[in-house]
Amino acid sequence: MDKVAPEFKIAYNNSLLEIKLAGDWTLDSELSAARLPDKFERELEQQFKQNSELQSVQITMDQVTAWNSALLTSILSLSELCEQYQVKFDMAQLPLEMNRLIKLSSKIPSRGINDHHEKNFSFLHNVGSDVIASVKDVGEVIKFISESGVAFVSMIKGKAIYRSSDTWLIMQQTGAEAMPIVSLLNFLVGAILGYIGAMQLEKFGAEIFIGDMVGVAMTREIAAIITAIIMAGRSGASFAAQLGTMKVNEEIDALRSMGLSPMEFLVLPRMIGMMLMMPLLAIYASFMGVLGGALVAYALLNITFEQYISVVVKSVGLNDIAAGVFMATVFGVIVAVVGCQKGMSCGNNAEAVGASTTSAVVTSTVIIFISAAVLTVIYGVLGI
Amino acid sequence: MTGHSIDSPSKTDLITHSNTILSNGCSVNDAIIVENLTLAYGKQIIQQDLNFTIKRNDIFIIMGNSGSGKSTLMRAMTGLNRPSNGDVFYHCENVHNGFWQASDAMQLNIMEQFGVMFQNGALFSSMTLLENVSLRLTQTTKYSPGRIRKIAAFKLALVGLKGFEHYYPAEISGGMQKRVGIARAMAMDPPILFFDEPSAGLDPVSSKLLDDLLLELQDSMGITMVIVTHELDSIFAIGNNAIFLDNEQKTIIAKGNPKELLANNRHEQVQAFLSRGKLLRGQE
Repeated sequence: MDKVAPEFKIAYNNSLLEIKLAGDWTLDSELSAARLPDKFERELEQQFKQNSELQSVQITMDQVTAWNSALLTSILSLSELCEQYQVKFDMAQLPLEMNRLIKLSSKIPSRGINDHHEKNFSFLHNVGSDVIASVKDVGEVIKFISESGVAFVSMIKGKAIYRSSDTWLIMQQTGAEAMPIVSLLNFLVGAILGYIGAMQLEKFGAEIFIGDMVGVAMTREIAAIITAIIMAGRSGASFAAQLGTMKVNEEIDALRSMGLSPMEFLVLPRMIGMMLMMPLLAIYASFMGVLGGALVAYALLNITFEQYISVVVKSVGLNDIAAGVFMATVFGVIVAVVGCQKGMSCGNNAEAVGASTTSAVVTSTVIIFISAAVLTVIYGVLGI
Repeated sequence: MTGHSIDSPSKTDLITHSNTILSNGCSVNDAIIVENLTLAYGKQIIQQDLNFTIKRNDIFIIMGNSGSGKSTLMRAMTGLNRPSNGDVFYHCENVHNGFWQASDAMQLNIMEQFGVMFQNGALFSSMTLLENVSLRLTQTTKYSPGRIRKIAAFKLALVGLKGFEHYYPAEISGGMQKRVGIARAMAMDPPILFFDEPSAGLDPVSSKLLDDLLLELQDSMGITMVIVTHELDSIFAIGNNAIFLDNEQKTIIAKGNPKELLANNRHEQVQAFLSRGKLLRGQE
């Protein structure tokens, strides 16, 4: 059956407003039909404003073939207008179902207060709120670090309750499973360093020192930083998402209710896993970076692999390796602490898990670069 | 949006037309026909040979023990999980074109015929209650933003949540979240509503209030309701037709009015399920 376009007629006669509705009022996919309830309401408002003598409203819906909530909300607006202008409107004129629905919607009294989400606070209020929130965040981070320290001490004393199998699993996930991406990125970074070095060193006839440059740079800092960035995006984000989801699912509360410390049971294995794997990954990453440099040295400068390695071995000392390993360990702690802290302080919904994960990656990356700069200065001052 | 058709049969009409059979073999009173449906996860069959018809204006209960595949059946009926065999037919006009045989566009059309309320409301946590209810209207109709807000606010008022429009799901109780779920399912005025365990996790008073609300909505709007539940009080209070899914036989072992099933059905599983409630309610 073809649907008849909806229409309305409004006529004012001797203090009576006659409204006649007809057609199918459910046509929501056609713009003109879908906007008709708005037009109807605007017209009604005009009539109420223009006719100050208006006393009653008569509505006829015999010709309406179908209706839905859109028309019903317009009728509700009409009812409100009648109340506002003290005009008589008999709801019994409406179809039985519509009448029932209107009664049902007003049956349960309003209990909510919407105001608290609609207040517009001043700029100063917003700045103040943000500062207070930031201070609270810093406080939470300090508290988290203290608690994780306590958990660590408990572990050393042999009192911490956690599953060692979890630690091995985390080590596998953060270590062995990360090796392909760590290999690729560090090899490429080593090759890029080598290429830039080759361009510059060639000018001075000092091509052979490419091994010196790539070896020292990769071993002391670059490998640790690149690996830490990979781990922040890969494992830190994963920690935040895992713990955040566990919080949403009340798994963390379940642990607490069993008398188990989430810091020991969940955070400790992740911290240990990351702290143990990061130095190993950094050493491996240095090796891959040096290999990348070797490829460029051979391809661009005709330096053989033996010549290149002998330069690397001579230039890279134990102090460089130790500096890189220490830096990687620090980065490992940062990624683990930030990832776990963001997960544990996550809100109780899906959006909060996403926000925590993003925040974990961004915060870790920023802290990693700041720490790298600070450590480089300290190494310089100490002559390492 | 389907809405209330003045031409659609009233309750009296439904009785007089109840035996009208269309040329395609379907009665005008049939809202949903499930035909030879088999549900499986991989090779593991959950339920098979499911055949039943849901009449318009029915409050139809899908009951059974835990793990019997009630929710899986509902997911197959609502287009979320493809069944291994069989099909679901919505209203007579689609009887020759089952949901799972239909084109993507046709499936979307059929999906406008129903709304679904999930077990915990499944509300979008980043949206206010008003935005949750408005979402489908905003995306699929050409109503003005103001009209959509009015419709959504009206739906919230229908479920007793007037004044909570700007709250977020996390700020309201579980029972209220379920009611928002109902309001969201009703946003497009569908003639059919599906409910997955609407009373689960609610206290008896809230559960009773929810049952009353469903009855009132059914009475006012003439909606066909399909409810997956094992809450006996709800089953007896609101259900006028039901099927019982059995874990062992992996098919329907009883059909009919829940009270009549309790009185007349001699199947051991059905009696064990339904009379347990009888004992609990002190009627025995």
